Amino acid sequence: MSDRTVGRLQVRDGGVVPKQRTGASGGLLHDWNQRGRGEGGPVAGGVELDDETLRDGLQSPSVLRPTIAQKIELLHRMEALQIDSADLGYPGAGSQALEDVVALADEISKSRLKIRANCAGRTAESDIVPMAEAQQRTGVPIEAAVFLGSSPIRQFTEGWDMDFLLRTTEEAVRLARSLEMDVMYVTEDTTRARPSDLRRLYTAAIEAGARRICIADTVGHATPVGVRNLVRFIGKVVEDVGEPVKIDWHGHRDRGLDIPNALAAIQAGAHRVHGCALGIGERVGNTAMDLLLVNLKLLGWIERDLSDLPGYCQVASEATGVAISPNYPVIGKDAFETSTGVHAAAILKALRKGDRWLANRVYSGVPADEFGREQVISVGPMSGKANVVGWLVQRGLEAEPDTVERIFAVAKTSDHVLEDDEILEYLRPAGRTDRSAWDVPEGVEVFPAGEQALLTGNEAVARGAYEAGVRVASGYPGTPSTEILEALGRFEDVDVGWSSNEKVGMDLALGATVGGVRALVTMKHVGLNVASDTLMTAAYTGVGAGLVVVVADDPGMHSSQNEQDSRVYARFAGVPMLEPSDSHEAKEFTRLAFEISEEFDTPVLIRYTTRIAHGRGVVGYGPVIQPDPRGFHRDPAKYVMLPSNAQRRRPIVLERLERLEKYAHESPITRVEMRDPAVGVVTAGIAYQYVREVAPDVSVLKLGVSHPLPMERIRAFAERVGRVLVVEELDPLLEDALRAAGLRVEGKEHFPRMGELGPDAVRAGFESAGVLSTRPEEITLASPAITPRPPVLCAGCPHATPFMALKQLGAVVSGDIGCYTLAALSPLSAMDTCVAMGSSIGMAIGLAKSGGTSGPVVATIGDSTFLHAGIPALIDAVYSQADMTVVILDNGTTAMTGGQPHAASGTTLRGADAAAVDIAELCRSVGVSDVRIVDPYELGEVYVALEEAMARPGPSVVITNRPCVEAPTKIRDHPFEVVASACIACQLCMNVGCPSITWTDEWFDERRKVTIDAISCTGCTVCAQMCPAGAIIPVAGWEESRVG
Amino acid sequence: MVGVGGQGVVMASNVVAGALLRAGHDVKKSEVHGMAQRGGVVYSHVRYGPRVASPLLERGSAEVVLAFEWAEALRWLPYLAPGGTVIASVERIVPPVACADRRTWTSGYPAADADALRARAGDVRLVDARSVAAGLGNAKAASSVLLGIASGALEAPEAAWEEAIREGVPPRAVDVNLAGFRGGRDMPFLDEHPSTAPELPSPRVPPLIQITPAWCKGCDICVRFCPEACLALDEEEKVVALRPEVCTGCRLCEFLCPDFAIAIVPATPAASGNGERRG
Repeated sequence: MSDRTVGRLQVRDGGVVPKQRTGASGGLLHDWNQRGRGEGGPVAGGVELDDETLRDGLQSPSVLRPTIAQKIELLHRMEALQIDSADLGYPGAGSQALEDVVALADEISKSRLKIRANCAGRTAESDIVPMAEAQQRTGVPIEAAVFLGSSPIRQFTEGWDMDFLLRTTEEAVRLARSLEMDVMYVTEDTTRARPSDLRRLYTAAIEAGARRICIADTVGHATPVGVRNLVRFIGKVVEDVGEPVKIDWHGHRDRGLDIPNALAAIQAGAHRVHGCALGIGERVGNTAMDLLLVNLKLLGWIERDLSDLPGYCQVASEATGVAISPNYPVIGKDAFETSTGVHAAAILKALRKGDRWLANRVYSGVPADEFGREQVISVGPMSGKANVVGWLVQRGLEAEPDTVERIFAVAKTSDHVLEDDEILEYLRPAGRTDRSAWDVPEGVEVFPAGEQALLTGNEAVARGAYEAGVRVASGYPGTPSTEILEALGRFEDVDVGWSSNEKVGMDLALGATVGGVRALVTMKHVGLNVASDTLMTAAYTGVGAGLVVVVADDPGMHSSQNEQDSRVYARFAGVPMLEPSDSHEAKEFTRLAFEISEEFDTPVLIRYTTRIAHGRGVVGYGPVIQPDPRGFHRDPAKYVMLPSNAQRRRPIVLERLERLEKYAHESPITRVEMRDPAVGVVTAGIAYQYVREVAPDVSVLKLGVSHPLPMERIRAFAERVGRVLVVEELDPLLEDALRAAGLRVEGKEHFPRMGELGPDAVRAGFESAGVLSTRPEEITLASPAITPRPPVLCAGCPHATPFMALKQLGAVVSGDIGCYTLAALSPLSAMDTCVAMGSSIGMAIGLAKSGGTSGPVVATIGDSTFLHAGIPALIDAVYSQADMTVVILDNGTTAMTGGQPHAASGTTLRGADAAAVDIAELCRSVGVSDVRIVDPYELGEVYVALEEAMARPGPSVVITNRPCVEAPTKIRDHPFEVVASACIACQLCMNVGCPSITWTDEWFDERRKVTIDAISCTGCTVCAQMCPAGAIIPVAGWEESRVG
Repeated sequence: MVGVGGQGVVMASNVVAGALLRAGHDVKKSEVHGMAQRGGVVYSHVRYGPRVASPLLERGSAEVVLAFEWAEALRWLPYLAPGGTVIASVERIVPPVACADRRTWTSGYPAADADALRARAGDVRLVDARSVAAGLGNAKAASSVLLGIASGALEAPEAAWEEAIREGVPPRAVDVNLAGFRGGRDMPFLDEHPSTAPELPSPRVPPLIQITPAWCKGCDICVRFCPEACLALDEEEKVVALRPEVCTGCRLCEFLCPDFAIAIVPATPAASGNGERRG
């Protein structure tokens, strides 16, 4: 290659400087690197390079041994960079070393690589013979690089003298030659050796047949001047011997002079230079091959394409476990990155001109594009707007003025250069379909095009479990969680069924995982109380396969007896909890929860609330996996929680939480959205959506894992924002935890502590906190006073008559949870207590024991609730012979939640036949002698049965047995109507509370007459039985086909 | 979208969401499950746009309130944005609790006055959805009639709606609902509620309860049958009027007493005799 100078500009052939530049850019660069008079470049024929990464490089103390595959990969990379030769290893070190060398040499032969091979070893037969073996086995010529210490200090320490050295040298070289290997004779510590010794050694080696000698700066002692002197001296020695011998330079980095030394060696006449990728090697390493290549190229001493240089370094880094530090020249992350305003502005101006040549040189001494890199403009506190524009332009994004302003404002107040994803938060994803900008866990395929659906959170959880390969699912119906299991029931290959109660469901699911398959259990918040006994200890035992517990809370008590905050269970039990904020996250988090459960050997809680459970949003489907069943593995120490075992498992629970915190710290589902740094909101779950809805400009830290908390990330976020507000529904758990960690936060002084959150409440909270200004008056309209419409027992509900009779009989009614709880409301008003599932019977026992009741004590409980928790209580009643009556309202289904089957229904979740528990028999078998069944549509029979049962001492059971008229199927019999002329408006029929009966506009004696809506009337006949005037009769001309 | 349990509000809101999704919007909606079947209030918020965060509306932010029942249209008015559109069925489903005042016999159900809606709405469209649907073939398609009217106020093309109906209703009901939908799109709507409010009686004075204890044998029949639970037996097993003020004058006690021991005397001469009607 040649040099041309134009003016004072160095111009090289080969397209480094575009031709049109030559004239126009004359004078753009003044190059002080011109070689001075008397200094030459490399010798004629050019300089060669020998890569020592696989031998000397691996002697670095901090290096991992690469696999043979990695070594082979690196060899190919050397070839791609046109490195002339490589040290394949030290075969004398042992059989593994030899085999590695053989494998590498084989690769050279198989892939017809041009790179030549050498091996290192001492001047000893035991090291030389293996080299020859490798050469013989592979047919690849291997140059034997035999080394021997040469300096006085070395001789002294080892107890050598020159005679010994000379003899050893001759024997070794002759041996290698006799084994048909070329020889590179290496003197160790040459840079501290005496000239005379060197002359004698090299002469002996050459005369014995070596045609290459290596000057090794083994201890990294030399400086460029010393190198020049030494190499010139050796050059003369070689000349004097008169054979065609090449000189190698092998340098180390102990004084940080590896590259200057290497260049000096070349200028002084060295033919070949040794180096290692990333400068690894003995102690702090050898000459860095990569930087040597860069400098050789920039000096014009070599001509080759080095765009794969970063790849070579990357492979070496991965193979050896040596990290590339960010400020490593040319290769490191920061090499071509600037976040400084002045630099970026200049680069941007060049880019704007479309002039990459200019952009790569205006602020960089190394042109990025020649080495497979490119200029990166990043955005940080020292940036100008040009940085922001450059960042956007480099990604092909629109640099809109207010986007630029926003990002710029954030950058200026930041204490660090912004990460790409931090900046991305400012670019709102465009449109519904651009979900690639949403954060999803890495490695997850969001959805194939076209596979989306509008799912409720419950359906999404089912889908997520299905995608995760769940095999067994259980639960008990409970609003708002019920639909999860119903949705799962629509998938094949999943064993799905309702359990008698949540504890059995939880036990079942845990057992399934101990047997080696993934399992899911679902419940509402109060159901978790029932299942909690198992959960608390399952945290100790861990799981066999993934176990996910889904709990749906009901803030605001839309259909519950309390609004407990189930997040406390995560902390109480010491298990992780994930809180999705919409349907898509409900799916993704469920899927992820199985992985977390298995990775950390713990049950995982998924928790959300009504608006997610019963809210619909777009969900993208992902692939469905089928994990292999793990089978049952006997491990009593893990699963039998005798105190001794439990004590041993206890520390695991705590240690695991630390690891989980780290997981939460690193997980992308812990997400920071930096916007206006004045206010930072920490939030999770549905609250996040409300925050984003009413305050789109606040910065947000959205937690995906709400236990354990990633406290460091929260702290880091808190430091970046002005005020920290916590927005959470119900209890101030998050707020308290942050305060306990020493952060100043605001929370429940602005946002409600009870009831359901919604966008209105969150807006009001932000207004109270001064984050949002109050909305104009005209938006608020006071709620008009409209008649309430409380839920009532359906038309034809078989529960109405027992309660009417109980009220008439003056009973104290201990009620339970189900549709019949509505009998507490007017007009029936026939319930005195109702606290928790199955509590009716137990409380009745207590009421009876107290002796304080005015009337007889009656417990009313539904069939499903009875199976859930009533049986042990009934046993108690028999055991204590309590004076009470239990009315079991058996309508054959779990009605309030939508008509799910149970163990006494006779069907399964999927509608197949099942053996049904005989409730009456069950009562008799636990010892209740007085069990009777009565038709609740027969008003008189009900009355008499109850009266008699209540009069008897001891426990008695009355079972009503008409099916629910709405679920699982609608039952419609012959409807009734009111004969207006006969109605005396006595209001007796209105006392049933049936929604089909209502007032008309007709009067009798200043009382309103009534009418029956024939479409909703089910024909139960109860009102007809009550009417004293006989005014209610079956509708004439009704046809059976009306049902629909 | 608001209504009463059993009217098909949730199914209809699925159709709305489906139509908007097909029209290319991001959609979220909230629903109410569980208690709804028991004749309670059913509501669904549907939100759409380029990207939706909250599934719930804020008060005063709805562009459209679509009501399947009259009282619900009034109840949910505060969620309508000022000047927004109310589309309401004039159907009245009177809850039992609205028929509880047995003193003045005032119905708790709101008056049929569309002006109450105009306090907020800029555009009021009323329809007797059930009758229209019955006229088109099936009263059960009432919800689709309402959807047809609503489709004029929402940004989704007709094809999106029709596809959403096909997917959102049970197969055997698709044709009926499509007919209802198309009918609703085309039909004119009412400005005023068609029914009239009944005349209210003036507050009445409870009648006198005359008991002859000497003839009362404590059989308990009058006590058990009184619709207002007004009577009770005292320690001597004689009937007494425990809460005379709740007596409605139905005279069941008088008719059923085997010994004529109790009689009801009207307070005013005008309210007397059997079969006397008012209004």
